[in-house]
Amino acid sequence: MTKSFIRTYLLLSIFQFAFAAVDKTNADQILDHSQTVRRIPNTRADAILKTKSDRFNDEKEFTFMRKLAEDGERFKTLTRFKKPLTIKNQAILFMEKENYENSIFMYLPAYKKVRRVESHSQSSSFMGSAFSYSDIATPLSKDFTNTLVKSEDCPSDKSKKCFVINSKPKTKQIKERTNYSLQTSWINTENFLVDQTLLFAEDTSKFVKKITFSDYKNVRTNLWFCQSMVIEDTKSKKTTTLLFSNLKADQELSNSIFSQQSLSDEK
Amino acid sequence: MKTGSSQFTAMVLVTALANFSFAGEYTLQTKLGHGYFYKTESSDDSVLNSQTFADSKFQALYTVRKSGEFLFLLHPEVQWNWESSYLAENQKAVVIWNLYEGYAKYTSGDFKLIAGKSIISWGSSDIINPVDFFGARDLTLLSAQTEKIRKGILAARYFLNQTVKSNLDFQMEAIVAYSKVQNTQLTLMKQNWGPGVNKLDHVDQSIPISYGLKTGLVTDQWDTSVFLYYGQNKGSELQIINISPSAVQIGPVHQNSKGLGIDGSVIFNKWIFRTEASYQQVALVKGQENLKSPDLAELVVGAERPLGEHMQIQGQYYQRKQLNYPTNNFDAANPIDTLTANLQIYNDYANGFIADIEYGFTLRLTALLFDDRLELQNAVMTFQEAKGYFFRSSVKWTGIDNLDLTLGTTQYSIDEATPLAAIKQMNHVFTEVSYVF
Repeated sequence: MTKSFIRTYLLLSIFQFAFAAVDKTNADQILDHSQTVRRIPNTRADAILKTKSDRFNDEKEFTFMRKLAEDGERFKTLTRFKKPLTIKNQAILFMEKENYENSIFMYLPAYKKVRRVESHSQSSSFMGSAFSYSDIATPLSKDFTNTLVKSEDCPSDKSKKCFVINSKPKTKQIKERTNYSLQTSWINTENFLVDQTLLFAEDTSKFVKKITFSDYKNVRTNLWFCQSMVIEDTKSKKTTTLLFSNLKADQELSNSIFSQQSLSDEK
Repeated sequence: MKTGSSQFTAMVLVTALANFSFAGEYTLQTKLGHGYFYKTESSDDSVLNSQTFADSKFQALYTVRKSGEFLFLLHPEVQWNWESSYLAENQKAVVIWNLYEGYAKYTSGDFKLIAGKSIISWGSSDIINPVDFFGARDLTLLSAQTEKIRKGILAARYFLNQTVKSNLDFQMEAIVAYSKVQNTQLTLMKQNWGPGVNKLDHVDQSIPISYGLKTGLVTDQWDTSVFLYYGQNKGSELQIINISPSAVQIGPVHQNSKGLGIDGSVIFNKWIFRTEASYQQVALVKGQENLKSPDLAELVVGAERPLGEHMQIQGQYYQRKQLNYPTNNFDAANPIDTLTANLQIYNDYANGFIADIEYGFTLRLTALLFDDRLELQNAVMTFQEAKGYFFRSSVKWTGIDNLDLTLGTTQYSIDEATPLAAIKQMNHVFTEVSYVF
C-alpha cells in the first residue's frame, strides 16, 4: 500500500468515526459537529457586502482574515475595507471571547486612530449592513440551551433533510449582547452544514432576521467554508448579501496580524 | 504667461499622475467649487463685495505593494486655485503642491519599520490629544469630523507588537522625526475654509530632530489598555502669527519642548472610559522669546456607551492649564485655562450630532445626519475677547457612489477694535462638487 492510500484510509476512518460519534438526537452534539466541519484554522478571502433597501443600494469590498484562537474554539477576525474609496483602509478587529464579551477595535483612517468599540455594540449594524457584529461571529453551542425540534426538508433544497434546532441564550448577558432571545437553525443531516437560521428578538413568533447559507466550498476532507450568506432584516427592510471569493485556507496567519498595531497598517 | 503656464503644468501633472497610477492601486479625487460674497466689509469700511472665484483641488493616492513585506505609498496633492473678482486685475491662479504622505514600510512578524513622510497620531481621545507631541495638524480644517486635519512629517518609526501571553500584548513605537513644519494659510475669503498650503518658510535653528517613545500594554482580559509617552520635540508649533485683510496666517513658532503623557481606556459595564493627560515643558529658542508658548498641563477624560442598537453617546471633558503664560497680542486667540465639554451622538455610519462648548472661546456644533446620504454640518466660533463670531453651515449630499455635492454658507463678524478685525464682516455662500475616481 502506498503512503497516500494509508493517509486517505486513515482520514476516511477519522471522518467516519467523527460522524458515527454524533448522536443525531442530541442538539448539542449536532451543533458542535456543525461547528467542527466549518472550523478552519486560518482563512483569508476577498469579500463583497451588498446591501439593498427601499431607499438605497450599497456595495462594499473588503479583505477577510480569520484565525482560530488559542482555545481552539473561537476566532479572531480582521476585515479591511477596499471600496468604496470613502472608507478605504477602514478596518475592524473582532476577537471572540466567552459569554460574547468580544473585543472589537476599529481603525479610522481619516483620524489615523484605533478605537475600542464597546462590546455591547455588537448587536449594532456591521458597516451599515443588515448583519450585526454578532451575526458575523461564530456561535458556540455551549453558549446556548439547544433543543432538537424536528427533522424536515431543508429550506433551500427540499430534496435534503435538515435538523431543526432551537437555541436560547444561556445567560442574560448573551441575550443582551446578541439582541436575540431565540435562534432556529436548519442543519443538513448529511454534511452538518447550516442551511438557514432565523433570529428572533423578544417576540418568538416572528423572526427579525433570516440568514440563508449557500455555496459551501470544500477546503479539505470534512472541512467547509460558506461563500455566500444572505441576511434579511424584517425591521429595517434591508437585505445584505455577503459573498466570499479567492479563498485561501492553508496559509499560516501570524498572531501579530490580529493586533491593534496591525489594524492601522494601511494597504 | 505665468498663470497660464501654471495651469498647464497642473493639468499635465494631474494627467500624468492619473496615467502613471494605472500601474497600481490609486484614487484620484477632484473637487470643483464656486462661491459668492455679499455685504463683506473690511475694518476701514471698504466693501469687499461681489467677488466670485473658482477653486479646483486635485488629490491623488498612489500605492505600490507587490514585493513581499515591503509597501511603498505615495499620496501627493495638487491644488489648483483660480480666483477672480469682476475687476480683471485681480485675477490670479495658484498651483500648490503638497506631499500628504510618502513612505516605505517593511513588515516582518511582530515588528514594522516606516521611513518617509507619514502621519503620526498619538492618543485615543477625540479631536484634542494631549499626548500627540509630534502630530502636525492642518489648522485650517476646523471641522475635524469629515476632513483630514493631520499632516505628514518626515520620520523613521519602529513598531513592535509582542504577545506576552494569551490576551496580553506589549506594544512599542519609537520615532525619530525631522520636524519641519509648513506654513498654513487660513483664508477667510475662500470657500469651505480651504487651506492654502504654502512652501516652507522655515527659520533655521539647531537641528530640528525630534524623538519619542510610546510603550504600553493591551489586555483583552479586562478590556484595558495603558500607554506611556515621552517626546522631545525640537521642531515648531503652528500658531496664528499674522492677520491680514485676506487671510489669517498660521506659521511655525520654533521652540523646544519635552512632553510626558499617559493614555488609557477601560470598559466598565456598558461604558468605555478614556483618559489622556500630559505635561509639556517648553524651552525658548534664541530670537523667538516673544513667541514662547507656555508650559502646559492637559487632561482629557471621556466616556461613551451605546444607546440602543443604532446610537452611541459620548461625552468628553477637557482641561488645559497654561503655566507661566506671557501677556501678548495673542490673548484673544489663545485663552488661558480652557474648559471644554463635548457631547456626541452618532449612528451606525459614524455620523451624528456633536456639540462642543468651550468656555471662553468657542462653541461648535458639527455634523448632523439625516440618513446615510445627507449630512448637515454646523460650526460656530465665538470670540469673546474680540466680541465676534464665525458661523459655518453646510449640507453635503452623496448622490451616487463617490460623488458629493455640498451647499453652504459662512458668516463672520467681529469688533474692529481687536487684532482679529481685519475683516469686520463677511457673508459668503458656496457650493462644491467632489468626485473620487
